[in-house]
Amino acid sequence: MISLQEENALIDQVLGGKQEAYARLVDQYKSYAFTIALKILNNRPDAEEAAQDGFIKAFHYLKSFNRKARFSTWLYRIIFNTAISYKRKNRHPMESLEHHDRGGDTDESALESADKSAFIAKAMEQLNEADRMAIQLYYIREFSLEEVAEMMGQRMNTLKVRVHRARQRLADELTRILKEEALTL
Amino acid sequence: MEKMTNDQEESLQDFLDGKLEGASLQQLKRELEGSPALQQRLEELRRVHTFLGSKTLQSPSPRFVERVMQNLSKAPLSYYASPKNGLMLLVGVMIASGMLVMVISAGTFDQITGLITFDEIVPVKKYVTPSIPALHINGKLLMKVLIGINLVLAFLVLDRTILRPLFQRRAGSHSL
Repeated sequence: MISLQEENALIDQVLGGKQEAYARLVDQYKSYAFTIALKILNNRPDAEEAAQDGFIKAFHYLKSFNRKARFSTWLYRIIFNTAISYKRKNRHPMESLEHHDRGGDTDESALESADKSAFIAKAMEQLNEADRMAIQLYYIREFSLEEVAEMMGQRMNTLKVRVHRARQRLADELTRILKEEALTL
Repeated sequence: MEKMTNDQEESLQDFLDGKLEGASLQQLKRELEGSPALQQRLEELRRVHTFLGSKTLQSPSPRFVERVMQNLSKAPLSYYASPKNGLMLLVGVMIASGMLVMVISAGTFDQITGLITFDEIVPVKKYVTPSIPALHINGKLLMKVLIGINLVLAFLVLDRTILRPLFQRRAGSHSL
């Protein structure tokens, strides 16, 4: 993890023409950026392309970054908007995110994890798109409500309501799905 | 089963997020002890928390950084309008050009020629000396200029929304 000072120094270097300094910023935030894009697009190749495109866009607009917010928050907003525009452009059938989580393992814990993923994915289908995005981004490690609100360009209270409502709905749906599963056993 | 209030739901969620403390936390604990329904709801919400919270960060492909750095000089792909929108815009521009050509061929603008003089306009006459020269208008020529502008616009739309993104995507897929 790089400190705020290091981050600012890297940004200064990039703005000063030292393009290779940007590689450290990309390396630092690539996983978060990719995960955000993946949560929105549910498709790894598209998410990878959107995340790359977001980083390229951030590089081109770096001069306009006013440093009032953290670079990461600014960058994630760009990645979020880029992924949303990809979603609008490429409306092909989505590959399930859960497919990737299953992997090739066949041991009990992997199967259990696959079941969990399948259940949560099924429950997620019942949410509207904005609520689904809000709760998925909120549960990406370390993101606060403020950060997600900033990323999605929404008011903090709106976002709080979305996450609250989504969790309620998910809890109800999961309970229903698990009951149905229990009946079929 | 007793119905949860919104406040109780909120308290349970805050509790799971670790945001509940002091008197509010103590109150929730008391309520939980006396309410099996509340305990059950906590478990339901905890399940969501556990299911979603166990998701870890996903890693992109190993050459991600390299590819971003290789493409830094290119304009971002999403900078361009979508090919579908571009195609619709292109069709619109071509239809407009076609209509202009048809109207010109029909001879509608053949008779629209003449001089526009500004001397008759009172404020111009009053404040501008010497007088502004008269403007020669040729309707047919004006329409031809409009067709020319439309064709340039069509070329730009084709380039920005269809050709460039297509070639950039191809270049991108070859570098994978």
